[in-house]
Amino acid sequence: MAIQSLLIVNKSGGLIYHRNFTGTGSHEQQKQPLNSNDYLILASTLHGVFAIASQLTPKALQLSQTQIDYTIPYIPNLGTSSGAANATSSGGRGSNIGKLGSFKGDDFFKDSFTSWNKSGLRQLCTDQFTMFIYQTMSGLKFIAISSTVMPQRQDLNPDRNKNINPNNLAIQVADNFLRKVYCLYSDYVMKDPFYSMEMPIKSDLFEKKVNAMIDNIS
Amino acid sequence: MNSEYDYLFKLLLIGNSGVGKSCLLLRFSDDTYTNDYISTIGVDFKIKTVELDGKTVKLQIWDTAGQERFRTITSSYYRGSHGIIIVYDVTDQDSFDGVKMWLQEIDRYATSTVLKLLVGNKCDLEDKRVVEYDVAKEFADSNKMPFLETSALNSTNVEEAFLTMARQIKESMNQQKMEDSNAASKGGDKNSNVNLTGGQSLTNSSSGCC
Amino acid sequence: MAIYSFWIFDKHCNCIFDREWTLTTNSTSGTTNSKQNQETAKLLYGMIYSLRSITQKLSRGLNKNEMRSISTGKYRVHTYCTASGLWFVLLSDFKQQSYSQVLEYIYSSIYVTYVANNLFSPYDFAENEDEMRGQGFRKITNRRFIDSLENFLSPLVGQ
Repeated sequence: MAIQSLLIVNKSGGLIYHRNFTGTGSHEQQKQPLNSNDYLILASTLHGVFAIASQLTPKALQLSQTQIDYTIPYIPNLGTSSGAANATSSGGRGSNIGKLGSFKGDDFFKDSFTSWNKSGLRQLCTDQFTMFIYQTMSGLKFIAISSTVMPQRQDLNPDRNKNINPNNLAIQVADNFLRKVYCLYSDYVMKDPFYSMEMPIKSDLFEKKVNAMIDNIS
Repeated sequence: MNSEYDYLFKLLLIGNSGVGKSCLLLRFSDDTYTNDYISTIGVDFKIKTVELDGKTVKLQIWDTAGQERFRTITSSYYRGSHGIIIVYDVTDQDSFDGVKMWLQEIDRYATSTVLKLLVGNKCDLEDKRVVEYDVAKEFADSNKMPFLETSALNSTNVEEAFLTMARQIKESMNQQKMEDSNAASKGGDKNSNVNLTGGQSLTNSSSGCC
Repeated sequence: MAIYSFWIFDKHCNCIFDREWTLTTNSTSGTTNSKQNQETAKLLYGMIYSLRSITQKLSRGLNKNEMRSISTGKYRVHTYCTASGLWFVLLSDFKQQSYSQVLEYIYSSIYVTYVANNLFSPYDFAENEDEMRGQGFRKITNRRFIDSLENFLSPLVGQ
């Protein structure tokens, strides 16, 4: 899964972070590169669509009230180097002392978690990319655009693949990854005393950590 | 790319349909956008980049549609807005009466500290005027919001009002920061409720996310 | 696996056909061309329209980038756009990964046979200026189209 772009949208629909990662998976450039205003509009449009999507829940679902399991399984060492994680497990928590970072260890979290994005937009599949949206409890949205394209042809023998539907696996991988970016945000943006809430993120440290994570994942 | 701007302010444009909200800012924004999002998702965007005290500020104006089908979605458009501009048409009494309804919406969906501005549009059509300046001015004063009249021919005073609003937002943000740091340095004695969200109430943020 | 509703939009943003199932256990339940779904159809179209424009803004290279599906935590929207600007849209449960073939089949074998090739069916469902700007209300009422669509989709309803 090569990440092409990462966006963070605040709870009021404003784009507060955006980076394009070129080099992996993107051999062809965009025909007309978008400027910062285009990306602002794109992010806010997604915010609007997100609200509409939850309004469109089919009647059959509203009537049957089937319980959907929103638990996302933990996928280890996604975007963090596995070597560092091994050091923690053998050497205990000692390696973390004196280091600014998450108290949950090198891999940030080790349990499955609940997706708060229950009825809003979660994934957009297109011929050239797939977009994933992870929403936090407070309404902050982390958006990844991946060059991975979801298969469009249905498997002729669906029973064989019932448990490993590539699409749902991709959502789980993306949720795990974006949740880690959220952990980085909590550590390096929220704890920055000079950061103004809901405003564009300008943290070199956050930048560095995100880049490292992107490098590890692709 | 992201570091092109330091601040991002969200301004909301509301008012009955047909009052000329969209025309108001055509010349004000950075580019002329041709997208017609407003009829599809109930909102359109205009962006103006300005410099304030050496900082680059992007004013993102959310131009909302009045249609009924977007009613349930509008709450997510109000969320976190720094300023709200209510527009009515001086030649249309209904649109002025609607302002009260819009104020109620603001009370319901926006934060109490949000800046408001009342704008009477189409004041060049003097012979068709039904809403007198004094009436509107009095109404605006009683609701403690600034008021001005404008027309498509001369919208410079609106642009001026927008810039004033942006300055006020920035000032109140700085003030909020000072208060936060003061409260923090006091060690939370009597002012123990430190507002971590910079003017946003927490209940507001959690209520609308689902 | 289940499908919840099926929609067709013409090139003027009008919904020209809608079918919604209200019970996944009963493939004859629900409504066809319902007045109540008018506003829902507009919102659905709005969502598809905006996401499609995002899809194309972010496209790379010379090939046209088309949107395939949109997923939420509850359901998934499958889209298929024809060269003539028609949209075939299917709402299913969120696990179902692709209905592209199903939508292509509906277009090429059912729509083309009973609507496009039908001399009595209007060439364009919008008959005046207003209807061309999303104010249209005319629907596909062709019995044979509806029957054959029903036959084709009903096994998928409660699958």
